[in-house]
Amino acid sequence: MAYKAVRVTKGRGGWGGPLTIKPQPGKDLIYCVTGGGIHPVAQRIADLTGGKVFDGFRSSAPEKQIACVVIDCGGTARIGVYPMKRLLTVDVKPSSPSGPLIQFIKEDIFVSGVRPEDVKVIE
Amino acid sequence: MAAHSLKYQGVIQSMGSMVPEFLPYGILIFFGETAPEELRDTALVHNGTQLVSELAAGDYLKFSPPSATEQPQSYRLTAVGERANANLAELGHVVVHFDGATKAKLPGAISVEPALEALPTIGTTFEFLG
Repeated sequence: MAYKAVRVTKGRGGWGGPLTIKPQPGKDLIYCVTGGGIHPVAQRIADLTGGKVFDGFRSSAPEKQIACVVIDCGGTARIGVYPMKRLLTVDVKPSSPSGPLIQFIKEDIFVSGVRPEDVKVIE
Repeated sequence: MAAHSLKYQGVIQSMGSMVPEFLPYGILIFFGETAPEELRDTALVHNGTQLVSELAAGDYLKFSPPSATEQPQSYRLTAVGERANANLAELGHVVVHFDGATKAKLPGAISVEPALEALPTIGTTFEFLG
């Protein structure tokens, strides 16, 4: 299975990035913890990269299999936890770093305000 | 107090290892049992599942501890973020800021007053009443 890389850039009002996401064998889960099922941005990343989209609220997955995390953080927990673990984090809401874990939210690990059109294949 | 209707309730099942890190900020994070482990680490995990009617400023958050040696606690909601009801209904997730703000800090947050007296313990029942 040949994976492709995508560049994910911040959307309007968003922050951070751009991130380069490329799944690897054994590390190809596009881990979606937005609630409400699989978010279109997570699906687009999976479709373009060849990664496997996965709903973190339906079942569990080992962290080391995760290529990137898609969140829609409206609060404090998700926006900090995944950057703290140094997992590439894509927020579909235009959030800026906040909360007690703000020190971990860096541009090389976090991008926000992302819409499907902000995800593009790197040729 | 006028008669209150129960909007949401749950019993605290576990306390994540990162909960104390948020306390100095006056923040408690709640998640329901579908939350993956890394999010449970940040939160009071509870067994609530049903939002009977939407939360609004003026409602109350009540903690009823399991034993008579702890005191019940009651807080008044001063603000409800625009995503708080949806998150609570679907994921049992809400971020409670004990700051008395009249505008929620973030879309998934609510503000209550007064400041948190004591960290609720496992077995405590929490209720939103309105």
